[in-house]
Amino acid sequence: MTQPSHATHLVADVLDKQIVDAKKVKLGKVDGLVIVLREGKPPRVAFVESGTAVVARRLGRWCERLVLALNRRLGVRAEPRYRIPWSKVTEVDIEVTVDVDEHPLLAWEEWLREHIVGRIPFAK
Amino acid sequence: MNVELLIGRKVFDESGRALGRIEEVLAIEQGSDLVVSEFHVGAGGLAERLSAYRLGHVRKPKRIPWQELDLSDPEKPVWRKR
Repeated sequence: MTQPSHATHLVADVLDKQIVDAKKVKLGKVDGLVIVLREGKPPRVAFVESGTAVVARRLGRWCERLVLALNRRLGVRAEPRYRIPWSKVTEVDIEVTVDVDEHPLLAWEEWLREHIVGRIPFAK
Repeated sequence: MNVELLIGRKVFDESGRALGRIEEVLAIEQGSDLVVSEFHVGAGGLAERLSAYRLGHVRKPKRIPWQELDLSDPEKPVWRKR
């Protein structure tokens, strides 16, 4: 079977790649890809996932549970997994460009700025 | 189902023989959707993913079309040749 010229290697070309928005602001990494199985049809790539819980799940269920517990304790994000519909992905190159308006992926950075960096003397 | 959790899973044929591990998933555009077309299995698939094409002795990946890979049990994918 020959590969179509426009085929995408989901592991080599998409997974673990940097996610950026249209302004090239870094939003995180592609930590996961969700495919939907369909009866009689090829599986469809549905979402790009990002977040510490997604990465932790790759290491094992115990790691995912630990990360979820930490997230609840620290209260950084309402949801430790962020899903971007594949329809919002506009380009797959060295980076994965997405068309999103909200940036909850930057919640950890904002938390660190508010709770740690902002309290360093003369930081402001 | 998550692609990153499928990677590394051993694929078995219907007789229970191990064929190799899922190393890559190929997708193509179908209308406005991106759909899975093939799963690449085995050492050849890993070499492809690492762009290790210069390792001349590495075999080409075993390509399994989407309709031939039974993912009803994601922990144990089965190749059902058609």
